[in-house]
Amino acid sequence: MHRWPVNIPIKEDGGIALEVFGQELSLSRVHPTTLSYSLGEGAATRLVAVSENANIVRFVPTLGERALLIFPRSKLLCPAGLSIRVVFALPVHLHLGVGTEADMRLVDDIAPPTITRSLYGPVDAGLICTSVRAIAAMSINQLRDEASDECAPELRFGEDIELADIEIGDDPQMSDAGDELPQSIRNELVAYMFLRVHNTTELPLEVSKVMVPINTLSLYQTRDYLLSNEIHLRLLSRQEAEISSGTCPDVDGVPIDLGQGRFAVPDRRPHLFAYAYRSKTGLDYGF
Amino acid sequence: MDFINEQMRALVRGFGRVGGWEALAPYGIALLTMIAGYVAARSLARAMETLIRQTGSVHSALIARKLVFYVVFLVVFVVALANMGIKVSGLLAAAGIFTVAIGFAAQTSVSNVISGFFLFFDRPFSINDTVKIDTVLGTVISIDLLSTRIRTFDNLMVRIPNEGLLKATITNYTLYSVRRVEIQVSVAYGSDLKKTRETILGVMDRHRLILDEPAPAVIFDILADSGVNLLVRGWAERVDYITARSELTMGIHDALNAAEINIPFPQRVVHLEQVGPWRVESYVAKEELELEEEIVEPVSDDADEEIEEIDIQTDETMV
Repeated sequence: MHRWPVNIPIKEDGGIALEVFGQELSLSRVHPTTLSYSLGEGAATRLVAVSENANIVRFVPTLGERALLIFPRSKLLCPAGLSIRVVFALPVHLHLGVGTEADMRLVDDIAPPTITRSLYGPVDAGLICTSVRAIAAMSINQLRDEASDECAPELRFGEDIELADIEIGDDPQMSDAGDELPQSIRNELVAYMFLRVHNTTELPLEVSKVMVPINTLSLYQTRDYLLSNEIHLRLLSRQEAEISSGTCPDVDGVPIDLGQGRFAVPDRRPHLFAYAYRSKTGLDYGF
Repeated sequence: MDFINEQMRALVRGFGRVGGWEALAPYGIALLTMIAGYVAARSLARAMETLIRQTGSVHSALIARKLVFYVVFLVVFVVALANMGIKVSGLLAAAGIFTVAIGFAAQTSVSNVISGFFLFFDRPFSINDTVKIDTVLGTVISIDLLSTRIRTFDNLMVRIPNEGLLKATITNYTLYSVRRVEIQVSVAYGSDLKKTRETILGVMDRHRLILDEPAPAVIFDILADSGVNLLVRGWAERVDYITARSELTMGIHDALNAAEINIPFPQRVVHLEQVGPWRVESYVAKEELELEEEIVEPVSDDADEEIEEIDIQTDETMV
């Protein structure tokens, strides 16, 4: 059973109310070619143009458009010649689309409200990234246990939606068995990313942050969770590292369709990063 | 009517005497060449601008457009002169004679043009950049051969000669994608400085527009007259600078209030040193007293007693 994408039919006489990242999302048809859309408490309502035959609202998880700058809460110390493999939880965005099964149009890219940004590189030429302060664990189960006290973002369907109508993922049984599901279905809005660090130098090196270009990542879904490609980080020297993306770590992982037949195809070229931007004073950004 | 017809015939006869309509042909061709050349120069310049805009900056596209236009039009102008039978070499020789005079007359213009070329290569700013040129702050709307135009934030157009730009101090606010937000905060003496630092760092950590890296910093700057001055520094994306600064200031104020950390008003502590009680006496000139007696009530007989009371109060205060 796969949980994504989530398709919800738009009814002529009713609206849709959901909870996304703890915010209320409401959609209702106010005209055959117009939807009323609002996200968040007190947010202004927006009118959305749709085609007359649009009958589905679709939610698809993505990793956003910015590169990820991951700060492991526990720094990774890798002695010479050894490797370490850890897993992080990454926040995902939600693409909201409206249309028909064949013609889906993107309406909004809903980002987690708690998301922050970081600069990777020098202040005159750095890259703005999505900042991720993540627990590093050895396995997804361990990560879930460690992060159990933290409230994971999720997509939650309100009680006013008839669950039998919701088409979740590509498993027909899930839709057919809607009445048997708990009233509140929750789709976790995190993706798990495995990182393998290999130290090729003669010195023990510490990894305090990892920049992952977004064009190297796809999202895959398994029965229980979302996964991204496994990332390989080769430490070449104190100030240089090479990053490349591998395949989905779970052989049963299915790439998530972003709509209209588009899949996020990973760029397999390795990226070389140099950390030589530290100024000679020892201060990264000076005063 | 006959008079008009007669005049027209006289005009035609006159043309016949100076060479006829054929004599005007070179001038017509020259005029047509100029018009066609102008149109061609404009078209070529625009095509060049479109081409460069696809790959380069707006600034480069604009400069290329002007350069192409002036070069093409200059060639067309020379061709048109040749059509009219004017020898360009003779014109250049004549220009040589007048070079000194022209040099003096066009000194400012030539200086501006040369400065414009220097600015093009130096590139301290581009079109649509927000800049401060000496005291003028605004957005660059055009960079011409002679001058640069700035639209200020109160919607005024300021034209600055390029010569002046070369000498001016230019601050470009839009060159880099991130800016440092700096806010000065003062907390009262006696405040818990460690708690103050943690409170302010907490505000910056939670703020969506302040970047996690470069890491925000709180620096204890000066032990000032009224309190301890701090410098709060965080980085934000350039486009969010004003919002980040405003929201951060508000957030710090609210967080310090919530943590019961006082932001001091300017104050001066005056220490009064007096060994004994203070004696307060009222001296009134005798003449004034006599005058006042006529219009106001006489001074109370209890005046001496009041002085005594003040002595007592002052004494208590000092203790």
